Amino acid sequence: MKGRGTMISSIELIEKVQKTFATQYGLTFFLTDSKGEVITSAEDDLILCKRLLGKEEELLCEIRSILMHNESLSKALTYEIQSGLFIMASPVPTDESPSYYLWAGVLVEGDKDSKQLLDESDPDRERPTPILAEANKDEWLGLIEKVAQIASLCLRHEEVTPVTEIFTDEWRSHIQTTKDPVIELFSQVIAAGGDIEFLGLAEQTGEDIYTITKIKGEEEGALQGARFLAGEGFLGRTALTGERLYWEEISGDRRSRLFSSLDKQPMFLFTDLLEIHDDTHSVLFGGSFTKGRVTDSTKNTAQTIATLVESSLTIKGLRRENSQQLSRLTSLIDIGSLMASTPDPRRTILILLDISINLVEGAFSSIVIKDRENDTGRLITRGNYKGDINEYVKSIMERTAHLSRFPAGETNEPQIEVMPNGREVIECPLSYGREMMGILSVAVPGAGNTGMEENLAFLQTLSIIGSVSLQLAERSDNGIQEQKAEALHLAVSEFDGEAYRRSKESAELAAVITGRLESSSEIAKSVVLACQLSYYSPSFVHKMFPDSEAASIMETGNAILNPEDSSDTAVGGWGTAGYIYALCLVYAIKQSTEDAARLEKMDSEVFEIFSSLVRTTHVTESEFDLSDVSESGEAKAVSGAVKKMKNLSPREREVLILISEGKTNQEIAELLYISTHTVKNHVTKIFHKLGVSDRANAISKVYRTIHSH
Amino acid sequence: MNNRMILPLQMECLMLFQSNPQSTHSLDDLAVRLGETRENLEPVIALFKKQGIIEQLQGPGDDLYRYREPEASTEFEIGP
Repeated sequence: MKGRGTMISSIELIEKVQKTFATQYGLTFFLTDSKGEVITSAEDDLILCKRLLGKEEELLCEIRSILMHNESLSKALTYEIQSGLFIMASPVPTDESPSYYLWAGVLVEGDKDSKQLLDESDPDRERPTPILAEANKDEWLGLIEKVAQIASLCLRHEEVTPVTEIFTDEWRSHIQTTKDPVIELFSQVIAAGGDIEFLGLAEQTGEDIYTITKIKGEEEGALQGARFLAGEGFLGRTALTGERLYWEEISGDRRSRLFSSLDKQPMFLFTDLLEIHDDTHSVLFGGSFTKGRVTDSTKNTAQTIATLVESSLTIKGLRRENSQQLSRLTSLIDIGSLMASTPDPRRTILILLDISINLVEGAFSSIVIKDRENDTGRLITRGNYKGDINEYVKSIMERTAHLSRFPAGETNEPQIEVMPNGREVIECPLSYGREMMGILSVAVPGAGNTGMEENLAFLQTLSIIGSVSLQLAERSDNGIQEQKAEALHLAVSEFDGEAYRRSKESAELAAVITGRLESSSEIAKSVVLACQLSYYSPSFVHKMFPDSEAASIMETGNAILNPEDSSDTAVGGWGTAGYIYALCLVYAIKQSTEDAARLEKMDSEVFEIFSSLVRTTHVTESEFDLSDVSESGEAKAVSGAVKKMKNLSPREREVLILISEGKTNQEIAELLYISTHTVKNHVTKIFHKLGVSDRANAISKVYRTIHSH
Repeated sequence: MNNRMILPLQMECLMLFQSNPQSTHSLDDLAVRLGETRENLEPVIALFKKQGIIEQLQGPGDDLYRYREPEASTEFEIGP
């Protein structure tokens, strides 16, 4: 760094400015006059710069050509000098027509030629070469205009103001380190001993509220943290209007009351509004306690400081944004790892609900999830829907054809929809491949919700990880439950071989019977599990399988089998499953249904169905066993026996044959094209004529007739 | 801090509450467990409370917070 007060030429200063910004942005800056003669050297360690300079004459010819054809070049523009390689130009502002131009090179985005060019020129590049795109073009042009403004200040004034000395290697290093470059700049300006004795920055901390966050100068401590409103006092005026203002001879002016707590009062003030990258504003201010007038030199200094601080805060904002984005992605990876390593459906659903509602700062999130085995859906909500949630579920069902297709048709990308209560919602399909598992919905808070695109991408990733986790959990859960049941069942064989055989046979029978009865898969699994573990007590089974209904089925079944042990006369909510359990157990022990028929709590209809199914099952099995009685043979035997029952009408005989085949009243009605009411009448008459009270005994009578002949 | 800045902390804090749904935590307790300052945790806790993710219990000293399970869980037929 040059010593304070050392005079350095304007050209040297501009070169330092160029170098500072070149390093920061990866650009190649240099200055020419209006004829295209190079004024400042562009020596730098940037490879792209070297490449440009390697063809200096070629480049300068281009530049001269541009200048010749753009005599009235009055604002910054971009110009493609080679395929994919752009250069920016900005006139250096002066009071008259511009006589100097600032140039900077960048590379266009996404162009194969330009990337190839970059790779050839800079195979080992460490610093990214700036990319020009439509979206950031204005920002780049704004930057070169600012650098041109600084160059203009350096050129216009022979007097070297203290701030120009700040364009040194040290200032550059401040920008690149973690030190606060704005505070460093303020310190250096004040230490340089110019007219500016204090400098401060007030950041927007509310809609109309500004808070002084950075301050340097005498009595800086008293102003740190001070607040003012837009429109209030000198600083508030700039906050409101955005004007750069110079206030002279203000001693005693009430509008400087922000400074009233200080021992000294400012004599002049300058205020300027800075626009920061994230669309907030800050008020830059400074002034003197001893001088009441602002010289042109001080105005230029203030202008330069404003440009530098604005650039610095923009860089800081961009860095923070990158760091936040990285941090969010890291968190997402952590959550993904957690969900994948311990697949737990409950936990996954909680994470999806809670993280998503937090992400958009909404008031409501929900998951509709499909139970593929039972054809049912489950709705879990977080927060307040504000309306009838069933209306929303209905709307999802309609749009997804009952969770069989994505809301957006072919794609499983998240969609923004309007719920029946009028609020916007982001809907993310939970899917595994092309199969829908459910929908994660997150209500979006009112208008002005920023970062929607980013939130959509984040929620999509979250829902994909959640879907995989749910799938893994389902597989793993089923596998573990089955293994556990199998192990407990097998353990019985170690200490009671007969009990093991019974439970095995009853479980196999239960699987067939529930299949024939078209029981839901949940009930079928539970009955089979109950039969497998019938050796154990229901309380033990409940402890081992708390999410299964097997224990309840066992209790119901035991109440049917042992009515004397049960004070409750009702069978309970697991009636049909309980009857099947009881019947399978009895059948496995006795190899007949007769004992079961005598159970006082046994449901006669279930028993009838069971008996006929057992018989059919055994017939079916016997076919594979090459049994001597074929199905058709048995059917003939039944038909023959029934025909011998002369007291029955032909229609009653038909009905009895079908009863013997295990058909229900409904099935008989359908087969004979008569109403169930008529079937019931026939059945009652058959029972009366055969002297039996139920179907089982009627069938029994038919078989006795077969065997008696 | 804006939402983007506190999201990683929100996630960490949520994981803690979800892993221990029955436990109650004071702000200081959370600060120690998560290696964070009370000041940084306060907006997270305020948001969780507002969204009904946690509930506040009056403790003998500091207020305590506990996870709240999602409020509704209903089952319905999917078929048309």
